[in-house]
Amino acid sequence: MSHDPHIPASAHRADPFGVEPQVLDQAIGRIVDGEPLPGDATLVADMLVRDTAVVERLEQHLVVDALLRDEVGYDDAAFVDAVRVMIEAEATRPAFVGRVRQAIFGGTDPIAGSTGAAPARWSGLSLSVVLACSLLVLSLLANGIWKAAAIGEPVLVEVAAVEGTSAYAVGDRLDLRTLVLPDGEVDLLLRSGVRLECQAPLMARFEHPMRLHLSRGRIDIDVGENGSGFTVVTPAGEVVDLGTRFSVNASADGEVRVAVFSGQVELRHKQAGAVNLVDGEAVRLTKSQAPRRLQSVEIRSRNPGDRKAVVITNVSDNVESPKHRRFYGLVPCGMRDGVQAFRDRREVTWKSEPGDVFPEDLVGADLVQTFQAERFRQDFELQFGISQPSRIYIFYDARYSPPDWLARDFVNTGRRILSTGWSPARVTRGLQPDAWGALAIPHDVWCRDLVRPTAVTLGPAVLPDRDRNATSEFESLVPSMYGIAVQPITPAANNIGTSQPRSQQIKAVPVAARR
Amino acid sequence: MRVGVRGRHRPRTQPPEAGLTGFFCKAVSGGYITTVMAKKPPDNQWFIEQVEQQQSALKGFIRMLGVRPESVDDLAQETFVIAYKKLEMFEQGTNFGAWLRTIARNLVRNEIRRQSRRRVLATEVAEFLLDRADEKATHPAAQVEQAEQHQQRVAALRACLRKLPKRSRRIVKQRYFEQLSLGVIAGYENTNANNISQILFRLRSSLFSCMKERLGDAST
Repeated sequence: MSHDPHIPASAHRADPFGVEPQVLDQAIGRIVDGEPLPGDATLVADMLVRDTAVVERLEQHLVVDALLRDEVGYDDAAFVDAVRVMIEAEATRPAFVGRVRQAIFGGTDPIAGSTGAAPARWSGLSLSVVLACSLLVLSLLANGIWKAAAIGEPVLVEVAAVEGTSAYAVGDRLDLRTLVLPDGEVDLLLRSGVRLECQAPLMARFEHPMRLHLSRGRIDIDVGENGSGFTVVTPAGEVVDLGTRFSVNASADGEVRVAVFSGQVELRHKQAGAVNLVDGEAVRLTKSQAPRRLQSVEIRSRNPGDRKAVVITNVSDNVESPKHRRFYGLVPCGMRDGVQAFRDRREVTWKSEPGDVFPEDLVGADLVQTFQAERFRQDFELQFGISQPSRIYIFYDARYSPPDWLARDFVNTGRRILSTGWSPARVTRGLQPDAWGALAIPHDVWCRDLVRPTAVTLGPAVLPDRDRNATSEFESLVPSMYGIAVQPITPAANNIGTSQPRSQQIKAVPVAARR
Repeated sequence: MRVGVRGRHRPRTQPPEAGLTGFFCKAVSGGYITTVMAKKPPDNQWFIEQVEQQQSALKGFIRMLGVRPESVDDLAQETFVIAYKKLEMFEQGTNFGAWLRTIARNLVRNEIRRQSRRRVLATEVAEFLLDRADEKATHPAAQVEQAEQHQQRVAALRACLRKLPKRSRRIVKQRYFEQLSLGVIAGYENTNANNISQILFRLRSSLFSCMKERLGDAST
């Protein structure tokens, strides 16, 4: 290294422009750090014009800053995934416009028309049509008719699944204008292929087949191949689908929660404007409060007979960043062979080791789908609660020594499972693909029993200090994020089905009471 | 096939050329470049490969235009999405990285026009850097593939990081690895945010000198 970083680089420079070099360096430093003081920008901009050496100095700092951020701060695979989702959404946008026109105007599209000649006819009439429509709307408003018309049109739906309610039966075909569900769950299929999974208590109404007003309750929406552009209007803002699966939950107090399970949605909020949410992101918002991160989202189990009472509650972490909107997926009874392991890696799943069966005592445990993005943070903490006596499982990257908190509070069961389906990335550096070309990371299964409802705090995934002696600490610190599952030990009264652990599988594990 | 030159938007009455499945004219935002070329369906696989190859260099380039660190990813993603939407305008075989940088420059120019302090560090400084990037784009050296150059820089930086003293490494890690604010690092280091900013300034200077020694002037 040619320079000692503790001696100011500008200490011996001349001062041809009457500006203290140290003052200028400090201003450049603050600008590059993104935290300039008032006057810094004016001073630096002025000197950039007058002195080419200042230009070079600023560029040097931006180069190194950009390289450092790229080297250690960002997750390349997540970035590529985000772009992939965006371009897929772009590819489906023209089809969406056509479907919206069809939904609003019926079988014949008056704008495009059924033949090539139609656009010319309509373009000639456009001004008069617009004027006529405007007069009609004004007239309706003046006569109070608009409010009644805004209730919406009946929409043909088919009942695809029902649970816990007698209000609907599978196979029913209904013309629905309003949708009220006091109990249970019902799945509705629209003609466009949009599937609405409604959970009580729910109140909603259709404006037209591509636009639903949700007043209260949760709807998980799978727009399928033809439903892109489906819009949910809530008291806090609009959620426009751009080709995806997502969930909207409106509570009685006006708060709305939006989570994206795959693809992308555009959230339109009166104050915050348009906000794009991609796969793995979730926010909560109200009419007056801009979208902010929603830390965990329950992902409904689709397996009949699964216990409905979730054991894990309130999953959260200590990451505070305005851009950070990742949520933890909470899947009741979700742990099984082949389930998605991480929220930000759709293709990565939990699997048994080759030639082994998936550990039976893990099957049916509540699963927390963590994400890779924050695995570098040394001060990372993840908290959750358990509502009944449970066994906590942690799946830690077996290539690395366990962090202190894990070794102290948990017991290594000696078993392993794999997270498979990785694309080549920093986290898989050094792994060899199997015969099918897939990359898999081995995870040790650690566990701990907790005999009463309590709060659990887990630490960072990064390595303890003693393991940071590789060639470069920046290159060596790449364990995968850990996974979490929780299996209730004593079945709760409201648990039903076959996913509870069998009593003979429970081993006595000392409960560490240090946390 | 790019036959466009500076000029106004041309109507769709250009004579078709042999072998073209379709053609159109389009004015590139802010650039007044008219382009006529074969219309091809976007090739997703090829495009994603380009994203994987170009993303690091593009993010570095955007940062060099004076964009706030936390907005670099956003603008890089927007750049790729616009590139995808206008993929018909890209001539296969030419420098895709240079084309991406043109789009990125236009995006940053829009941010500056909007006086968007949310995404740009300081409008005055960003304007200067953007003008400079525009000048460099017309220089023959701009045609050199930057992705390759970027990899050389990354390798040099890694080597230089290993040589840093312990405290410096810790501060680099806190700032870039853990993405802590200057104030939080100052709390850990028992000093103030301004001191941390100065230490980071000196660290970047010494890392740049080290990289320069390894790569020579041209590559840095």
